[in-house]
Amino acid sequence: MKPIVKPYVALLLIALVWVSCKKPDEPPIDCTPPPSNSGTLKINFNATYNGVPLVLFTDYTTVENHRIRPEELRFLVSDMWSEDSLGDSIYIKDAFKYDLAAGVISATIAMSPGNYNGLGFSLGVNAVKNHANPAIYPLGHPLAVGPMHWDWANGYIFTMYGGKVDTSGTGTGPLNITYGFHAGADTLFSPLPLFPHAYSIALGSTTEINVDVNVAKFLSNVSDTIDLRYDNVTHTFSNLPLAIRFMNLYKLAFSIP
Amino acid sequence: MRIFCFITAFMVSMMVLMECGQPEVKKNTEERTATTESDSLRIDFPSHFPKPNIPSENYFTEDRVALGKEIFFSTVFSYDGKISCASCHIPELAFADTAIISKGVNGRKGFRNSPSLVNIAWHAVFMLDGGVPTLEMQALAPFSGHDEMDFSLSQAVEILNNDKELTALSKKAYNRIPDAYVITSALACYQRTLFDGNSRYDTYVIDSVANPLSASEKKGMQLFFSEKTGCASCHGGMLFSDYTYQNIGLYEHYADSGRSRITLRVKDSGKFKVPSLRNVSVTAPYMHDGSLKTLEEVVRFYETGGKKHVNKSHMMKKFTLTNEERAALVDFLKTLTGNTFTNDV
Repeated sequence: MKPIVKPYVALLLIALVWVSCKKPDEPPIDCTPPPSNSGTLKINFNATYNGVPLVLFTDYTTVENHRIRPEELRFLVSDMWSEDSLGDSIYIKDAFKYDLAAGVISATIAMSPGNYNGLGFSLGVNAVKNHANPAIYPLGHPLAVGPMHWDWANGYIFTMYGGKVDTSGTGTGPLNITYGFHAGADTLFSPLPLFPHAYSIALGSTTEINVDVNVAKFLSNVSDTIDLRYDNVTHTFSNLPLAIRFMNLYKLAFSIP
Repeated sequence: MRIFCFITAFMVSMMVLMECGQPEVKKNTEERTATTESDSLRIDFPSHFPKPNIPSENYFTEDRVALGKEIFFSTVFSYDGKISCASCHIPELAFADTAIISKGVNGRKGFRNSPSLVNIAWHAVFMLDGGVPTLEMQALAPFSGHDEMDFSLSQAVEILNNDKELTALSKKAYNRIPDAYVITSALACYQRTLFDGNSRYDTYVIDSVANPLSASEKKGMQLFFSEKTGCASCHGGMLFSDYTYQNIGLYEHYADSGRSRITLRVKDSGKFKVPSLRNVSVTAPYMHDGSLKTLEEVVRFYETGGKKHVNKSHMMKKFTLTNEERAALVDFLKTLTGNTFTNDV
């Protein structure tokens, strides 16, 4: 080989080696989710009115024979928990925002397969969560900035229940009273006792628990009745006694059949 | 020679092809890595003021302040596209307003007088009833307030994310695309740069020989700090406020429950956060509801000792001033107004 060619051959070889050492194309991103090692618990909060599914802008009757038309139902639950097969408490979800008008009525939770007992949760959020900055949560999070946060009072509205009512007693009078119960304050935070309910979670499948929310009981039970003729609006800070009465009734409206 | 050219050309081609096959290298010139405290902007707060409340996670950077300023003055974040923060917090009025009650979207009125934002960095709590604990959280209320901007933060986030420049600024400032956290943090960062410590009173305190007060102003100062008036009991310190909540007996029956709206305690009814008196000569009208129009009216009110109210502060006592003394007190209050209402960075 002529001497003048040798260096160029060497360079060519170097180039070829360089090319062959080029990193192989990275494999395409695999969008398939990794194999699941959990199952799903789906908690359905089923709003009813004395056993009948609640439909907003539909008429129902109160104990005082008033015609009531609920138009808004939203609430926050938090600190959801259950018991595993050993009887140990396990925390399963920090918060869930129910919004009937938006169709957000079920909380979906990934859980390890196994046998469980009971479902517990709190109505509203505890004081720490209640005074956190909602801007730290991404939009879409139950505790993110939104209509269920009292921005001026640094706290969440635990429950928003409102609509219109005809208090004539005839059932055909005008729906001329607007009622609204916006309850939320640290003192109104209500952890509920564990609802006994045995269930199992299987790998890759969904188990459902239905929680009945009897809206009729928001305003009446054996211990108290809120008569909308006289007591129909509270934004908590504007009428704390009524907010307390409402919450005391409200927390008894939840059950697992 | 031909072989030489061929081989050289071949090698160059191979190398070019190799480079073309490489994945694109992300350039960091436009998208900086995370902002760190080493990027922080030095703000020279008045040395004779106490240390301001600056949260460590929202330290100052040029980008954060710039973003906050953009948002503060932008009217796009309001229902009618006409209201910005600056609509009710006017820079040349020490970021307050001349309206008794400022108007929000569609001319809607709230129920309280707009407070000044100057020296807001020294406030421990926010709103006249102390309902909001941080400046970062304070912005949430006017954004969503029906009588203010009546806008949702999610809409604001969407607008910002559709703005390439502001999205880029958000990434530089907070290393994330615009979201609720960025908006509220940037606004707070900007507002903390609004301070003023160069009033005539300040220059007098720093050098009373070079910057004397007039005889009337000095007389007024003496009255202000005297036991007779007791002004300094609440409006003391360099910020001319202790930021406590006080009921001054403005009314026998308050339409606005004040602090008790937040605490739900009856004993807090009619109490409001003590405002700073800095820049007071440009922040009329006065009181939580803007009910007193002039400083003279305010002084005359305090002379009455306030109306009867079960929660009235024990510090409210009747006193008498001559016309000359009243004028002197007002003259002194005017020396608390500086001439720097913005701090361009």
